Amino acid sequence: MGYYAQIAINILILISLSASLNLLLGYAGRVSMAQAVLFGVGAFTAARVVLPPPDETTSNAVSGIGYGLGWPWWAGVICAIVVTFLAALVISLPAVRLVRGEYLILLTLAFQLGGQQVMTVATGFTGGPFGVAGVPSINIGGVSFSTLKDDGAIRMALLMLVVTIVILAIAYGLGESPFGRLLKTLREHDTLLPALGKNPIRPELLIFGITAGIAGGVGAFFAFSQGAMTPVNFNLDLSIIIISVVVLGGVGSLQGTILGAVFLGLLEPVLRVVLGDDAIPWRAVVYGGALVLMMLLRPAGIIPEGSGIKLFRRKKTPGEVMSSTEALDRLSRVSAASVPGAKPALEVIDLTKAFGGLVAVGGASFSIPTGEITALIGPNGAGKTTIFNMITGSMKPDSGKVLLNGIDITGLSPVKVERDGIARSFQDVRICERITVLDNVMVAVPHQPGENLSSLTFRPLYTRQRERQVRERALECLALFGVADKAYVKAGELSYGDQKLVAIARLLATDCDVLLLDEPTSGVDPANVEGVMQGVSKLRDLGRTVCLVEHSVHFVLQLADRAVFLDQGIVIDQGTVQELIDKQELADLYFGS
Amino acid sequence: MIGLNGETLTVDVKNLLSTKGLTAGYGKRRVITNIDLHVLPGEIVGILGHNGAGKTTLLKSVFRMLPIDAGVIEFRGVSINKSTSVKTAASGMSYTPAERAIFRDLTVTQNLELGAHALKERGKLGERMDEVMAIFPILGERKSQLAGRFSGGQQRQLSLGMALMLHPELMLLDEPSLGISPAVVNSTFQTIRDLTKERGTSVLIVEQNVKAVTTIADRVYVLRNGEMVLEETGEQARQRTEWWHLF
Amino acid sequence: MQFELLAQLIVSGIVLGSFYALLGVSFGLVYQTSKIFHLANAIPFAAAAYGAVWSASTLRFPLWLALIFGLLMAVIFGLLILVLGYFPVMARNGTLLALFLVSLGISVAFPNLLQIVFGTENIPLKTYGADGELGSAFDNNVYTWGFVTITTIDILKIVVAWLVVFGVVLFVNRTRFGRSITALRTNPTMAAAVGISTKTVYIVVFALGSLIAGIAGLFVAAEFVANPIMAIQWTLIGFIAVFFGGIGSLLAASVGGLILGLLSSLSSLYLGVQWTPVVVFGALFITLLVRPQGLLGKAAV
Repeated sequence: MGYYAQIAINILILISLSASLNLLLGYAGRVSMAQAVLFGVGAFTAARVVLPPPDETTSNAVSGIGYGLGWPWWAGVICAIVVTFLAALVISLPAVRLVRGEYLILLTLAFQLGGQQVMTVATGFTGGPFGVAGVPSINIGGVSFSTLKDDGAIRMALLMLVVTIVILAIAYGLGESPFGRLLKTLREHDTLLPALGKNPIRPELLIFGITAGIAGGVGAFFAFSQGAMTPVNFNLDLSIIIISVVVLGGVGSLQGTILGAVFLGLLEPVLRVVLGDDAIPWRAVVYGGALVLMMLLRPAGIIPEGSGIKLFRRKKTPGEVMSSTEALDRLSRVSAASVPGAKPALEVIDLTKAFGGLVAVGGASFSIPTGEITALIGPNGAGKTTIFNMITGSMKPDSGKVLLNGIDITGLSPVKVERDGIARSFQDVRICERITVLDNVMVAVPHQPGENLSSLTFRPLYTRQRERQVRERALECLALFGVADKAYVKAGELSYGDQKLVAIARLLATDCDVLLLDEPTSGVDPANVEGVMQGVSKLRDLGRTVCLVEHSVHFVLQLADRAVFLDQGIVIDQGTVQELIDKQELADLYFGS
Repeated sequence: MIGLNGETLTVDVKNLLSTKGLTAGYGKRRVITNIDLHVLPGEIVGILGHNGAGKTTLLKSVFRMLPIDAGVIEFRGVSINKSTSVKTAASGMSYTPAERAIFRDLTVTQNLELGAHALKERGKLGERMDEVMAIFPILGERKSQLAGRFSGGQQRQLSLGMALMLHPELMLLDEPSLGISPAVVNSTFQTIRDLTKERGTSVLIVEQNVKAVTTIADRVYVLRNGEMVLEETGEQARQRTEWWHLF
Repeated sequence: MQFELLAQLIVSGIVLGSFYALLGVSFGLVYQTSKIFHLANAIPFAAAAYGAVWSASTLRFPLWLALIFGLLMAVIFGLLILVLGYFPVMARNGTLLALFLVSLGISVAFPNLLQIVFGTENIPLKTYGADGELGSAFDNNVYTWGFVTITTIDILKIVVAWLVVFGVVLFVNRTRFGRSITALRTNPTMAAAVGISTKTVYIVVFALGSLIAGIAGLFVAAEFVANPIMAIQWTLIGFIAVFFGGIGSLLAASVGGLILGLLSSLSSLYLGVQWTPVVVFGALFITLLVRPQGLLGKAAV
């Protein structure tokens, strides 16, 4: 009986460790090879906290260190979580700067291997290669959870079950929260969040920390259930097993993780019955081979993200879909209608930018009137996208100014620029394909307490209420462009034209007054172009100021009120579109002479 | 017409290249839809259109660097839908991209040698290089220099030279005017015309610079937002004054 | 100052560093060309070692034939991984993460397969001598030279490693095929335009990389033993050499390996042997933090 309880405990530990990795890999799209060593840090911390102080030890352990602080078990758990959380910062602080994925693999790999080696060497803390023994088991009100006896083992297994359920609940809750939504956006597109006014650094650091903290907490329970451990318990193989569980089960799917952990957890005992001692290498062959086959045949895993049994009733259809006119009405009431003809919303003064020796923008000055649609046109290489980038802050101008409603915003970061009221769309649309259309738009809405972990934890009712408002606003934006019926569909399933409409809805949802659109019709097949152009006009109907880069003059004629003609990085002329194309010198510039 | 082995080929009036209903893109993005075009042997055909109209995608599809979603491409009367760029490079087509059309970290000689990567009779390599360096003397003068050090115009000459190494029947040129100063654009296009008319090579030029192309083209097509909106002769294009609504 | 000890450590460091350079070139060649995190480079390493050991003891091959057999196994297994593991994923436009996971799975499964087939004991390289008895494959002589002791294998390591490094560098820079590797790496569009076949280049690069990994594996088998878990640790060193030395150039990777070898050797004096891995990983960690392109690498554009 105790043997089975032990197996159950191991499986539950594996589920918990994998669920925490799934938070990082599944939701945030970041790989970590270091789960095992962080697990170990938690285990050793808890052990050292809980072991009795030197003078109280009756028999020193034969191997390793037999003494500690003598605190109760729950203090051990808390210390383990805190220490591991801090240790994770060692990885995460450099990691947030490293954009390329393989660097993170290498960084966490170095941390795992180096960290494990440090554990083997730091005899003061871990007892060196011999580790620690004699860790007292949990004792709650006189009831022993020691795994040395059958009944204690069963109690420990049940306790682990509770712990695992709590961890799964946390993982699920975080994943489905606005915070989780931020992470899921981060995993597909690195530069999207700043453009929507949300800083990605905090969520990234936090998710690394939380993943580590959970691993550390589980480590504490491992220490209490095992009573003894050595650094070998926390080697690279374990990290790889955890990764395998997540990948085989299904990245981003907690149900898949449970399945994967049960499978891998049962693999060794089952193989042991059949093969005896050969079980250990065969187990590795099985899960290594399964990993290869899974990536070749079904990379999303056994239970892909979003599939699986729906535990909570999820709206699959939006019910009664709002009409476009109703949406227009609602959004008009909410947005501050700007007065056309007032001072220009956006002013660009003498902007310059050079790359190496090449001048991309050589002193561009123009203004974008409030409440109108202005197009930037010009032949290839005129510097239009570079100007966009300088306005939104993703590039710093070499000289010149950008004024928003008269206020100097030159050189501010993209997040700050967005918060001041300028949002942009991207030429390559940058829709997050793995989340729903609705989530794509909701992430753009400002002022979401749910993106903040402390609000999420301590003010759940307020967060829930605000989330409802955010959802309503997002649905209104989607309805305006006629795509609300697809709200609960994964964005990856939409046609490109519809994705472009969702991107415009997302832009509207930012509540920014000035909207920059980068090639809104590009890539849209002829049948859907009209819909996209109408969508852009609706932005103006709502009183927004729109500036767009569009290469097709044919479309600009239909879309824009005014245009700015650029060539070789300087402004040649401004005026209504018709005025500009009537000028021969501009035609000569554009088409060659 | 001069074949790959230097022999004279008889020309027949059938199309050298033709596409029917060509539709292609990147994943979800449909970039070109339902394109019908053809190129006769010895013809210079221009493809005009705004930035992002699908011109580069069209060339890449023809050269088989991109998968086709629908339609047929025929080269010398045979479908090349299933072909790959490795094969088209070796069978009489050359492709010169708009940007980064050379290997910056290699010398002129090495670049030209790579241009002839698909050349079967390696013995001819030397004479082909001499030939190209005769057409573009600057390449001969600076043959051991790294290509990345050259100016835009010189890099363009090198890229054309690379394309000529295999004596292609059909040259696909993507925005040859890009990166060259306007003063040099005309002479570059004249060179293209002279070279290709001399050898009977067909050329499919993609360009935004309407003037430069219409000066030398026998026929032009206009692409707008992935669709073909106009086909006319070079003469008609030279007479045309209103281009805005086509872009 | 223990000058004698220092001198010995420097020599050992050069021997070790040369070996690391070999591993770095093997991994670097594959990584630079394909950008694949080819952890499974451990497999050709192990395949060569076990191939040599097995063919010598079971097929009774003489030493030279056993070594060649080992190298052949290395190339075959390396190419199998490319064709059966990576190509299918690339055909599906798989991500680099997916490729890494395939590599990871193979790196886990294969050594354990070796363990099942050959057992966990360390198997030394032994050949049948003229007397029909299984004996040591060759004489690993020890030479003493002033304060410094060095063995035949050590000398061979230095010679072979740098021959290979310069051979590969010459191959990449001076031969036509080598230039097509550079072409594919620096400008894939143009490479396709001139008809360079990505598949062919990958096959050659993987074959070469696996061959070099196999050479390294043979050294370890000859000097120590063939052992199932040997390969991963050494392969990782190859990784570290590349990212530490510089990811843009093979020479940078080999110099990185040399420096790591010297660091390892010298740190064993001042910190103790058990801290050596920490020093190596620490060097990598700091490099990734401060200068991600590597010590001698060019900054990412």
